[in-house]
Amino acid sequence: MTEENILVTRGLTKRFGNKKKSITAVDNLDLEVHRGEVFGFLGPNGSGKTTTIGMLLGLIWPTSGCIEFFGDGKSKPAKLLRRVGVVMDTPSFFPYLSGLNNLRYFAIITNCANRGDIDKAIEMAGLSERAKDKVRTYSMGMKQRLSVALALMHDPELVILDEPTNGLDPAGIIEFREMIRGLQRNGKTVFLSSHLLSEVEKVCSHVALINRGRILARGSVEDLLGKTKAIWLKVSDADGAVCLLEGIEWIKSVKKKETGLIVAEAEEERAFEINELLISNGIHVNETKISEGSLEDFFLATIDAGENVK
Amino acid sequence: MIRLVLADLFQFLRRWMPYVLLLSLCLSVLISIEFDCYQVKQLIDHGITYDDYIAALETGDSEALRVVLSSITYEDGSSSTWAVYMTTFDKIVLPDYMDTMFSYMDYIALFFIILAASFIGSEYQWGTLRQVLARGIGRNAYFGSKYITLAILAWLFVCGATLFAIITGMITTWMVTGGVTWNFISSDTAKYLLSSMALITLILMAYATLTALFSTFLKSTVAGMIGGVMYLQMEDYLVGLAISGSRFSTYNPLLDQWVTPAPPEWPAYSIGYNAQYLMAHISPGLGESSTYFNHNLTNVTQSVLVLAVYCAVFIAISFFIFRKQNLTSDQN
Repeated sequence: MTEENILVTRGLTKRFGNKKKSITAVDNLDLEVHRGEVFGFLGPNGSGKTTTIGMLLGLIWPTSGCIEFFGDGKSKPAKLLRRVGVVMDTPSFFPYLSGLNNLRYFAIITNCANRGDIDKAIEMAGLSERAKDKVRTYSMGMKQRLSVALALMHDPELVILDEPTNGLDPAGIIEFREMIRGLQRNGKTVFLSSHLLSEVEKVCSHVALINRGRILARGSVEDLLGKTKAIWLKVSDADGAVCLLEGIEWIKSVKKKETGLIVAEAEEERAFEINELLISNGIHVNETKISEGSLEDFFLATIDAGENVK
Repeated sequence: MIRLVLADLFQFLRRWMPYVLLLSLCLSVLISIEFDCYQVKQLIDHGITYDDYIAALETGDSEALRVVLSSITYEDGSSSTWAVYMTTFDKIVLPDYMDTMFSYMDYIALFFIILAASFIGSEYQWGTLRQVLARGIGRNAYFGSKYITLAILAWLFVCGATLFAIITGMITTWMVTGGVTWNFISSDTAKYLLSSMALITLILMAYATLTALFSTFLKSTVAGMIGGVMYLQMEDYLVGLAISGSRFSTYNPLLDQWVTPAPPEWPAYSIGYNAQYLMAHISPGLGESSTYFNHNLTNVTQSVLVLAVYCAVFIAISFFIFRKQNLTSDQN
């Protein structure tokens, strides 16, 4: 059975500046997001995440490449965006209007939500008590909740979230996680851009890792984490061990932790080879531990390696 | 697009700014008219009533309209006299009061520049522009609706100022004549009011579109305001400079006569000159007192056309810029 494409980009590229001096923010980006997925779009600051989302939403013009929503390559992207809910990286509202009136404003322009939808969205965002207060009196977290209400009030098929947990307290982040799970249960597709790796790992079914505008890795979270394990080693000479292991081709990355431990990213089966190598070079191994790879480890290893793992 | 216009009116008319600007305009007009009221009060204190003025008018003698309020003779035999013409009554009695009010709306363009800059620039500043476009609103529809809303706001602004003028006019008329008769309401007055309001709206739109161009280009409210006001001042200065040269005659010894240089034609294609010309057309008293006004350079139709072309050009350039713009989040 083929999966239905909700969002596809092909060769999406954005260069800022002129011909003589230009910066490539996004380079030849190919993405596929399928219906029902919670898709994590990961990358460090300045990696091109927000520029990519800007292009998806028609705010930034791509230098080249194409974007297709809902498998519809013929309709104008602007028209298809009516079926998308968006939470921007910065909550943007009219400060002198109440939360309720801000939602009314957007309901008027899009003609996609009635009063009942607005009330429901406000209740879902937990803003019922402050709905009639002016937005300028809202905290950052409340503005973020209002953004969520705005994104969901017209029952979109695809929800694009750009750093949605910015400004949320821990309780808010947990609520947000539950909300994303709820969206997934209701069959919505979620495109989540974030640098909070633990959050992404908890809710996303698929991820793409972007750095310097290029996709470094993509796939299901299970597949990506299954490829490498973190091998923790307690050794007599941590610096010497790092020097030694850095030159080994099949070790993806080596890091020295503050506690004197070193962590090597490699296939689990080759842990004994690392042991042997260290011992043969006069470095005593006091302890070896293999841990399940986390998205954070994978992220750091992949960024460091700078290679394209597909 | 109608929905966008309605939504814009929904949000913008909930701001305090348009009301504060309108109130400031009305107050500035009130301050301006205060001197006329003072002169009329002096006439009334000297026992001259509005009926006396009507009676004097019927004599057809202009000297009968002149009232000497005080006269001082100095030691050297010279004297100074403070006289007021009874025509001052007209300035604060409807329907001529409307003419006076329009002539005092000097700051209307300045106030509307502030309003237009804020209307366009704030959307960049708050990021609401990005929110709207991200919801599938096309750029053409968005920007088109902005200009339609701006025109509606200009019209509402003028309506507000006119309504204020009518209400205050009724009060001053009542105070001077002892009551308000509705005789001033006629088809001619309505025509005058509507055409004046339409012309002022056009003038406001010329400045508003210029301001919107600056705001769009620089993605800023303040830049729009500064750009609009700077242009207004610079143009006013240059036109004044160009026209003033033709106001003075110089003696040419070769021809043995006084020669007045012909005024340059270019001011007739500037915004400021045409705006002044149309304001003087609405309120002839203003034209007579204007320092550099020259009636020979243009006419009403040409002025309207020139301002309409300016509006169209500014809107077209703004559209061009806006369609090309990348709307990144760093401006909010």
